[in-house]
Amino acid sequence: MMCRLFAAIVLVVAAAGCHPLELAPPASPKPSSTHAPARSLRVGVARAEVTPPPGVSLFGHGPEGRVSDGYWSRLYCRVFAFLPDDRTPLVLSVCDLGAMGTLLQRSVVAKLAAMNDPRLNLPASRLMLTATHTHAGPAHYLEGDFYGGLMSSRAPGFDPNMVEFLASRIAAAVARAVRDARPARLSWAHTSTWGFTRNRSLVPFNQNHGEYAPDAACDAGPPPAGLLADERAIDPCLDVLSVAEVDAQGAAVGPIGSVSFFAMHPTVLPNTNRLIGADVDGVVSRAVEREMRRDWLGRAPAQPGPRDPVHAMVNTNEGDVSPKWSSGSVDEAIDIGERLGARIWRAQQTAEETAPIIDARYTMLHLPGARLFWTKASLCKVAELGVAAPKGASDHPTALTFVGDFRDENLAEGTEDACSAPKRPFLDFVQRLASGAGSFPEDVPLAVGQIGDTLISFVPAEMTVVAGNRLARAVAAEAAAHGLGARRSLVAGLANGYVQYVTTEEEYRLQHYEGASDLYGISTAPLLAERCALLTRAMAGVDVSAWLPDVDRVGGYRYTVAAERSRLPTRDGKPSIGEIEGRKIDGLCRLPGADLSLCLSWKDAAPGVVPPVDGSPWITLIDEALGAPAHDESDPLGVVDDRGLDFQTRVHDRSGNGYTWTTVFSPRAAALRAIGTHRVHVRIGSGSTQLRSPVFTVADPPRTCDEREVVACGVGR
Amino acid sequence: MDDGPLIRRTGAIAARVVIQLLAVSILDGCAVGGGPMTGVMAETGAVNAGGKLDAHVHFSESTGVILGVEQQVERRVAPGSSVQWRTLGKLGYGNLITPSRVLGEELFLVGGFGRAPDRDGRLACAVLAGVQLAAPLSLARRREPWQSDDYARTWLELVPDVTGVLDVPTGGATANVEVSAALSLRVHLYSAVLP
Repeated sequence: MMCRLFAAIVLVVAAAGCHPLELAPPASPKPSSTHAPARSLRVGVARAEVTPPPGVSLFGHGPEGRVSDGYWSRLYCRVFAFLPDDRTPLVLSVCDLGAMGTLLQRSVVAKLAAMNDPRLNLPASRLMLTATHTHAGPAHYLEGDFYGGLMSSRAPGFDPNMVEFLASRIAAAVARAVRDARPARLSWAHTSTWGFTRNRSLVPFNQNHGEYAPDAACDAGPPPAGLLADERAIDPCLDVLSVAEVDAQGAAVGPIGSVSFFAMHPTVLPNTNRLIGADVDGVVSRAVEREMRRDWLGRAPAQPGPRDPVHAMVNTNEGDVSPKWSSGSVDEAIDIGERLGARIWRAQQTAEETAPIIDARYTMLHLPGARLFWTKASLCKVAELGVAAPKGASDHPTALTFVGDFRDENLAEGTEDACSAPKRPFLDFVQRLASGAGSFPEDVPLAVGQIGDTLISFVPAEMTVVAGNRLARAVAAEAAAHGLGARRSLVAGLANGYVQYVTTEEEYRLQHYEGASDLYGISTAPLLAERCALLTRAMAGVDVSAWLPDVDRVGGYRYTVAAERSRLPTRDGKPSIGEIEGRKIDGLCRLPGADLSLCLSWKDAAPGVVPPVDGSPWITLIDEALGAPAHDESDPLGVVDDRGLDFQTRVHDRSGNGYTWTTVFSPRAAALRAIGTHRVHVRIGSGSTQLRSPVFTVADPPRTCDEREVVACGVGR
Repeated sequence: MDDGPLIRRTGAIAARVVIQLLAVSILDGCAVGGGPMTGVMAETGAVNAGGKLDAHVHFSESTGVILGVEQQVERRVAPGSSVQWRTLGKLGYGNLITPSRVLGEELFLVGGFGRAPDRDGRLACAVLAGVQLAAPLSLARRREPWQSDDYARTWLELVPDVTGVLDVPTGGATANVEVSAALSLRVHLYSAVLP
């Protein structure tokens, strides 16, 4: 009796610390199940600004994730709404975020439903949200105790305001995309590119049985001569979905947007970075969007139509693939991104028209203890990190790599019978005791879609090259067996949820970083492949209810979150602009160095009060003669402002009743030419809140910054 | 009926709670402090002077829950002379000091036991209950969130407080009330690792 009383007391105390939350099932319509090509297709695109104010933690580098003090490039969610006639729409949103949460996906669905527009009443099973995996995006919005708790970042915590901030902006962009949809046609380019990436986990890669070969459908061919072993151990496939607006006769008018699928963990910036930014994928998208704007202008300058096409980068099997970087600087991220953007644009121009097939199947997967139907293996009942996980990947190790016990062997001895064998759990039994159920997501969405001639498996994880390749092959085989006319099968990772890495069984046995981050054990990759194959079978019209009774039925969602913390600076932060005494530009100087790089400092309002929260340009290069924004000569419709890549803006200490802000303006070549030929100044704010810097040109630059100013500008921090 | 599985599960949960408590103490923030105090017995007007030591665990920045213990030792300075002590457990709510906030407020319910004078001035074992108000002031410079995300940070706080404690002697003597004030120096361990 005493035992039971004690147990009851302890259970109540324990439950108080980790009570699960639950979202009710969304009241969304049942999706259509017709797979044939649509008679007609409309596509809409939109861009949602999701740059939070400085002050939030950055997510992706675990305990190295710093609290942001500024931003380099704005973060966007790029939305594509595919609207086939009399069929259920399929919406794809690719966000400059570290990972995607199911809570965020469901929150977007709820916001769309609340708009009371029949066009926006989307089934949750047809909204695919993926993340580019920038490690310079915000934290605080993911469910799971570990993703907002211990060592998820410096200054961790779950902030419901961050979920609200992101969900409301994504939902608004989905609404714009659906409402602005235009007649369109789809084209795919299935090609390949070598030389941008390398395998950062080559030893586990080499453990895989059988010779790995990229999918022949992407025309990869053998690697070029001269590549190193790690540069050959990648997936070189580059798939570009191009969407063009068409006129009444079906002729192409101009590009609406494009989506690239490529295997590259897109992290060039170091884990000590404090600037919010989209990293290399943000550069790629800007480069391709610039080329599409040029294309519009070249085709028909006077023709009405969308002049702001959108490009999104979707990660495929990038778990062990890094960009080839050396310095990890912003300049290098721009260089890699510009080159890859140019490659994508060339591929996009070779895209071939495909039938307007838009379809998908979706299921929720309960991971703890899940059984494979065909091999009878099962996942572990508790998600666990291996000891190598907190060390970080080989290209971005954390400080823990160098701490005593973490240097030891990653493999556990004498645990052959354990489900997670040979994983040596991080913090050993303490992790199990201290975390418990709900520390990582347990219910995640899984979906397979078809867009044109390509099958896309949306998985809530980062799959390694070979694990993703095997999954895609399983889906392709299932499609071929059941007569789905698909030319290519690929994986879209980091979709609709996040359970970190998924490796092959051979890679898992070595327990390097990726294997140690495979949370539910050695059978996760085969399980995902099996379920995606079943979803493919369902899309072919085969009854799979014996295995998956809930295809396309979206129920409630149970989740836990870490301790709530208010981390997102709000609009009512103090001081507001009107409260600041002596709001002014304090200085403009040229940073030492060969290239033109200017530093500007001023006194302004609190983070959360000033942009980038409202999506408009905050800092703009102004042509003195025109009294208007200076043109970026590389982009016929572009201007030079802080929505591009030229400004690194930071907030510093309090100064009187305001904050000291600085921006470092490092113009790229085209903008530099503009400065060279015009007298320009930098404008901060708009309307009645404008501040104007002194006028400058390349020929007449401002004075050189002194040492104190260089430090104050945050350069080299 | 075999209670084995229940006992094992209970043991595992209990161990989890203990580990979480220890982890919270180290990682979520804690503080130790001490300083001089002086008190007045409300019924008799007797004046006490002495010192105290306390320790707190800060469970949550957002809910503001604090658990703590406090040990007081005082000597009656007028009239007469006697040594008395009080051991108090504390459950409190507070706006905690953080790197970005230099002034906090704390309200505690306190309870415990001690050796304290009854209304006639005789020392007796007593059960104690009361409230404590404190207003810690950080002696460190205020920092913005992006300037204060080291894994851990310590600083000093100056903590004035006022405590009212009802002493209920266990021998049946009449209850007594002490109102005391203290000024403590506190070392605060703040962590940016746990939320």
